[in-house]
Amino acid sequence: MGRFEGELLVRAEKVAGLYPDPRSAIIPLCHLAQEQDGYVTEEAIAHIAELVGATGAEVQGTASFYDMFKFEPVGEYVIGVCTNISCMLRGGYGLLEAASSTLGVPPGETTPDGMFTLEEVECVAHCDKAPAVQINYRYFGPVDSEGFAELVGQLRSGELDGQIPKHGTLGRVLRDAPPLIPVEEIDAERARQDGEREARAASREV
Amino acid sequence: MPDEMVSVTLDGQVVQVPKGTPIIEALDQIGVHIPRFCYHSRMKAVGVCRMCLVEVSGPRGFSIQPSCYLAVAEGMEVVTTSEKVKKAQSGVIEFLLANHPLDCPVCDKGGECPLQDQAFAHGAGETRYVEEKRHYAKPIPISRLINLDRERCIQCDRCTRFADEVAGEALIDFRGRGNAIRISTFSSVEFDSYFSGNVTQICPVGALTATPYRFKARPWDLTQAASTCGWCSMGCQVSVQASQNELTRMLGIDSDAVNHSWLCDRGRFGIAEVNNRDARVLVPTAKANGIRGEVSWASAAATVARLVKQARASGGNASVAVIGSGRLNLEDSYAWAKLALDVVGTPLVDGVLGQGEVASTWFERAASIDQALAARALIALNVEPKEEVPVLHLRLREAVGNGLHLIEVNSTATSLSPMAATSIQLSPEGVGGLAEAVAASLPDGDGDVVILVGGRNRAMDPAITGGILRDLVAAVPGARILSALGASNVHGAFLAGLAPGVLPGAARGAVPSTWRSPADSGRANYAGILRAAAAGEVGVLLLLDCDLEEVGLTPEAIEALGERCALVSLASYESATTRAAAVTLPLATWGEARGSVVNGEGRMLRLGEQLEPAGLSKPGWVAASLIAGDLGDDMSILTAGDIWAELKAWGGAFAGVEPSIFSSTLDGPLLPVARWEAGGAPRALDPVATPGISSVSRQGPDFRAGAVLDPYAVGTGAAPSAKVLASGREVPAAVASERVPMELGVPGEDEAWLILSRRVYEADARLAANPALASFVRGDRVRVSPARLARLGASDGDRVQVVGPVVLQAVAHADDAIPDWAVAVEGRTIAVTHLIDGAGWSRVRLERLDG
Ligand code: SF4
Ligand code: SF4
Ligand code: FES
Ligand code: FES
Repeated sequence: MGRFEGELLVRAEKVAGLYPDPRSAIIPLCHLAQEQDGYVTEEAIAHIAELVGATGAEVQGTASFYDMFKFEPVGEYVIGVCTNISCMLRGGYGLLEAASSTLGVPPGETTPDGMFTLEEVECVAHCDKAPAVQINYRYFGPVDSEGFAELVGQLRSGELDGQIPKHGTLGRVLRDAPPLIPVEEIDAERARQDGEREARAASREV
Repeated sequence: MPDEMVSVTLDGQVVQVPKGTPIIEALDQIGVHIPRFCYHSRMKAVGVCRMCLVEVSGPRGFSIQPSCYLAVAEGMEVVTTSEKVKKAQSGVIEFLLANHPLDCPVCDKGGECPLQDQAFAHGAGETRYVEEKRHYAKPIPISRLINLDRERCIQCDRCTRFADEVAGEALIDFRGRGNAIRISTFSSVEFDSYFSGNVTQICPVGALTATPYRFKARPWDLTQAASTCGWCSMGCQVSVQASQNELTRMLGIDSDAVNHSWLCDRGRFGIAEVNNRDARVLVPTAKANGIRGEVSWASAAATVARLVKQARASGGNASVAVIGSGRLNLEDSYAWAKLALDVVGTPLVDGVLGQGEVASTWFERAASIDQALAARALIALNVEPKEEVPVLHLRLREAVGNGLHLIEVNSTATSLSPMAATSIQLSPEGVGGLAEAVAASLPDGDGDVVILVGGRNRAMDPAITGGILRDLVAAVPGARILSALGASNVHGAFLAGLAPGVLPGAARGAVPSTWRSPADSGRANYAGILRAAAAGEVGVLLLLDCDLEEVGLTPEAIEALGERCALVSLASYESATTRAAAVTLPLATWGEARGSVVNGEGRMLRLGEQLEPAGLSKPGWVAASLIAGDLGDDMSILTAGDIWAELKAWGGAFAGVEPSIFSSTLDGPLLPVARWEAGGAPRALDPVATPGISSVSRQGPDFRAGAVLDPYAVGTGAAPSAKVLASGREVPAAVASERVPMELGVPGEDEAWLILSRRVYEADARLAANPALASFVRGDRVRVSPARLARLGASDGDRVQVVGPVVLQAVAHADDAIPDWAVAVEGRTIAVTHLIDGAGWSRVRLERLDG
């Protein structure tokens, strides 16, 4: 684990090849690493750096900007409770406390069985259903303390398996992108449009 | 094409500035200093710290804008003194201090800190924050040389920009976001860069500090002098700072022509070896019955004179020989050249370790660094700038980024290879046709072609490089040369006449009256001298700051040579050579004596003085003058000023050299002075770009042109006028004219050609004496092509031995980048140079070790 191997390596190389500058692939490759291991390991960072021709410090620097990349192992379900304004007004802090006592861990930690990681998050754009909860980046709301306990129960029993893949699951559909961004074509098309525009402007002046 | 000018109103003053100038620079030019942190004139603007906010007029009236990030435009109005601006600037300071620890009393930057200074000048004076500040573990080492205190960092992006943009080694980067953002290395990867020290110089707070300087001094206790780095021939301009007769640190001065304020770590932290008294030669010694004992200078000089007289009496003038290393400064080199050629009259003089041929082709066509980087094409011949003249590597990277066409001619890949438009292999078979191949690869167009020549492969005699260089100059008419030959003053030694076949100034004119009749030295280089010494033809061998171990002799061989002839070692550091010498004379080293050097573009640069010479050390020219006195001829050199007067009288390269020359410019003059166009306008040093210089200079002279104390202003008599000797003897033309073809021979079945690349951290006696840098010497490494390894029946990782004059046992690495004809060796100690066999290009055998 850590470095990409086998089929994943093929996928990683393909991703890196999608961009005129392979460094643009840092973020997608970090996603791939996280899908593989549940978090972005140091080995993966080193491998990504090799694949895109950057240094480890640069990949780490880029990836660590984003909260959704984890650099430590997390639970199978990463649960975010929003405490930003809308949610706060509708009881977000109470919900966070309840979540914490339901799971038995403070925000920022993972349950000993490795099932859940609890996080306090800022607005996740689900304000109309405040207070909002995010489980592996799927939305729920409004949620109260009973509802939260129920969700946890369903997750434990596997009832929601179809709806919420486990964190770090290779669940993404690989988009069918052209082997390389057709830069020349795009440039040519741009030049053509520019030309047309200029011609129009010129005809107006006359 | 002159820059297009625009007219702008800066604080009510209408000025014309070139289009595209950042507002902050336009303001600098009219003397309005805007506070700043992230802006650095040698790096791209990023506009991240927001300290430089000013009011700028735009289509919708005045708005607050970062002056470093916005370029002037026609009709623009800028206001820097309004309440709005003051409030904005003080607001930024308040934000920056919100998380900044109250470390000033224990912070190395205290007293010269741009944050401290600008908080005083533009801050509110009182904080409104009562909240707990952000906390991190106090300084963590990010390399063996650099400490990082993340609490102090203000996220100006200078260090990270330097690492990525300037050095091209992004080993540090920001990590995290917002409040949690900090500088970080990756995992356990050290910030291991030849240029790491620069980040401590440009960090505007005490977040990055140099371990060797930690808690050493307070800036207000330091004194400083303008000087030139003494390690390589780039000639980086520095401020050398000291306290209590110990060098404390070295900072790069922003010299437009040379180093753009950057230094490499070998230069910057080289002061640690100067301070290491245990490794220094402190007193003159002489051997009696094989035991080295302390003697007085007078008796040491008398002994040397006696040895010289004896040798001349029994074997003539040619039984005295001189070998130097190219590290003596210009004045010392000149005095020794005069002693050797004129007083003793020996023809056996090589102060440039065999590089005289390259140097003689170089000087007449010398190109400046700026010319080389603006050339139509730059041909890099047997050179790896990063390892030989490191800061040139930084300037080259920038130039290639701006479109310089680079053609590389090396035996194996170098750090130039990724930048080169063409790479041509320098192989033993291909030496003949090389020049034509290179000429054929030149791009069309106008403009100069410049050849950058170095001494990368130490196993290849410099004469081979010299031959190729002459071929190239013939094949590319008008080509100019920038030299990257090793030691700091190898070019100065050549021009001072301390090399085969030249006289001071590389002059071909008349011999000045202060000389009698110099010997014609065009006979042997150091290798020839050593052969003659080994054959017993030399009675006294004078070694000027030259450790014979560095040129391939084993300690045993040096010992044996010491029995054949009397070795006299003028040296600053103890080495196998000083231990074997009959007489050792302690030489004042870098920072201990004023003087000058000449760099690879032929630029004359000053050496400053900050220390009393260690022990009884004396400048080299004083030693020469003492010995000359005992030989009955005082050479009429009583002050360093006398040397300058004589240099001027010789003319040639030194025509027009006046003692005041360093007073009129920050960068020294190109030699001959006629080649040097602009006198270099006085330049304001940005106190935030290199904080340590402006704060320290408050106690000493200012470094701006015109304000520099000139080393020889006092005590200089009138220059002796040149006069042709009674005999009217013409000085011999340089040796370069007759070309000796280099016979390389054919390697045997199991033989390979040796590649012994020069590296920044060479394990010589000086580096071993440097506690800050000694650990950077890499281990023994032998690299060969997979095919050769397979022929040997060995595989990657097996132990092998490399057999030459000595045997080196090491692990072999299979490396596709090594040509099949070669064995590439890197060594942990200077012992690898003992593999050099003294033939044109050394050959070795590779053997497999069982078990
Ligand atoms: S460590 Fe220093 S140079 Fe680097 S970002 Fe922080 S303040 Fe700037
Ligand atoms: S490049 Fe050469 S002159 Fe410049 S700092 Fe390094 S060693 Fe000194
Ligand atoms: S405030 Fe909670 S989702 Fe927007
Ligand atoms: S934003 Fe201009 S100096 Fe930093």
